[in-house]
Amino acid sequence: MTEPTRPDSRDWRSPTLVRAAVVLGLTAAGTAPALVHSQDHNFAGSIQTNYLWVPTDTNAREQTFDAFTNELSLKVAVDVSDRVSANVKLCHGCHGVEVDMAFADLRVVDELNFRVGRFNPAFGDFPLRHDPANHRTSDKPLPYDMGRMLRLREFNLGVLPSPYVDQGVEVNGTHWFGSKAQFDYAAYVVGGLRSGQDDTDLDFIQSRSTYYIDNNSEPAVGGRLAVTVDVTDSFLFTLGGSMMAGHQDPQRKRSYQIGGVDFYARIAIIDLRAEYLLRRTEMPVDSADERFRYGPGEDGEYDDYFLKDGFYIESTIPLIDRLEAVGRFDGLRRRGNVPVNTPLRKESSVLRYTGGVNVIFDASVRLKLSAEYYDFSDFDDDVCINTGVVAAF
Amino acid sequence: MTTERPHHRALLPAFALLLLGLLGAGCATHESRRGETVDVSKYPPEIQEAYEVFAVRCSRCHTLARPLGARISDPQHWIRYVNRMRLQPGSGIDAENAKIILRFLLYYHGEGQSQGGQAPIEPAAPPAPEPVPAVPTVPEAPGNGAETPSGTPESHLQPIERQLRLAFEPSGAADGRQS
Repeated sequence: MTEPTRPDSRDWRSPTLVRAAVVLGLTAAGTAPALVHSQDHNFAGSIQTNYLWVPTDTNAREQTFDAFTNELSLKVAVDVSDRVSANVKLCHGCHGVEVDMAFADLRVVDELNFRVGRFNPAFGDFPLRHDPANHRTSDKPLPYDMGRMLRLREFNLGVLPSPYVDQGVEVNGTHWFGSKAQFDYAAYVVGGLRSGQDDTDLDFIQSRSTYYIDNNSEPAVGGRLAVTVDVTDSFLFTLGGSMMAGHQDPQRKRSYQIGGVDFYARIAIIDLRAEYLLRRTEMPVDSADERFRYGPGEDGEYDDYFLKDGFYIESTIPLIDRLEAVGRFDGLRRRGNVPVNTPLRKESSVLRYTGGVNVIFDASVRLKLSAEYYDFSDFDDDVCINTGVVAAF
Repeated sequence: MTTERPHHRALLPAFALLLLGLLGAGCATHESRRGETVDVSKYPPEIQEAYEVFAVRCSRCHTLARPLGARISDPQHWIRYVNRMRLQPGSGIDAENAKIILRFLLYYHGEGQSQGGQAPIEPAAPPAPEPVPAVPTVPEAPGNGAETPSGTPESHLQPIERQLRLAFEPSGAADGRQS
């Protein structure tokens, strides 16, 4: 199984791309208005600093990125015209500086928009709110975890670590049926998730450190459908479904498929969100006797895939002025044969219980406090405390 | 080999009870404002109503600090901005809601500017964005007549309504469409 590692500046291999994006962003923010009067520019960003404390483990650094972490995002959105807009977003986080967005939207009508560039392919509800300032907890739900969960290396992060960013083309649109129902759809062709030829799981670091070029000369495909029903002025809900599929290895011998369903409801001032994700990932079975912990099945053959699924239910509730509560119940499970060097079993899982509050100091600054209880099937249970401050600007 | 540890099933009902308690507390404080929001009690009634739509729809994806803190003074910029948000998946913002949200944002930012000694947002000369489906004309606000003293909250409504008509009504939009 591919293991995530701590950030290392040497992992960064596309400095030219970063420079280009910075130049593009600065150009868009500073010089273009003088050249094209009709353009609208909007600059936004956020900074989140979090301290992750695991009181039940004095060596928590061996199972997660504990202590202080800092995330920065800078975004410039430009409405070039009524039909054309561009977005550039730079992030600094676990893997250094990354281009998290660099795309143009070419809208023919509301029902037909072409998105071209590097973007978050439409999948699920959580990635719609891609900025840390938009979330009430410092970490992400387990199916979307990208480095804050405990035992992150053993589980190799979530089902689809967020933000998942890729380059390609997406066709999307939205259509209202009357004033009560909004129908959203998207289909995309992107580079796809990656792994090494002999890896037994996806290698998410490849997607974030060497993303300029594809690894297997073949795109992946995916899409999303969702319907939002506007029941009353203070009650609406969304039901969505997503999928993506592709080959992850350089020789295109092994495939992955991910499916998900999501639900969101807004009831007065209460937000309720729930999602379920399932990924099927094929593994190499050559030299299986040496590679895997468990033997073949009754037919003498090794399973050439494993399943990974996860869910979360989360609610955000304003309590009093400047105080919001957040509660979350989520889980992650892996089923299938495992490499000999992993402590996981054929079926391993974790359930997590999270309770927290947000203290809103100022319109743009909030303190995020949360306590989490990890209930592992294969490891000692742990408690985790997140204390984060996020500033949006 | 790792030994299996059963999950602590008793935690689930306890946690569910905690969540239900929080939901109850949230319902009980339905009228409470989020700390990032504004006191609209002194705004005209139609702006207070618009604020409710703004708060419910826009906080789905991001905190309200984003639009409230945005340093945008050009109404045309706001129109394009809200139109872009309207097209976000699951936004729940149709053309009518977009108009209502714009009414609040234009008023709020105009009000903020006027308090800082500047003029409220005045409608800029078209171009308007691509016309969206026509929506019913919003009734004139009480106290929105010519007799309203300049500088009062009500006096800000006239240019806002004019701007919204230009943006959302087909004839107005057609007049000012960009080439």
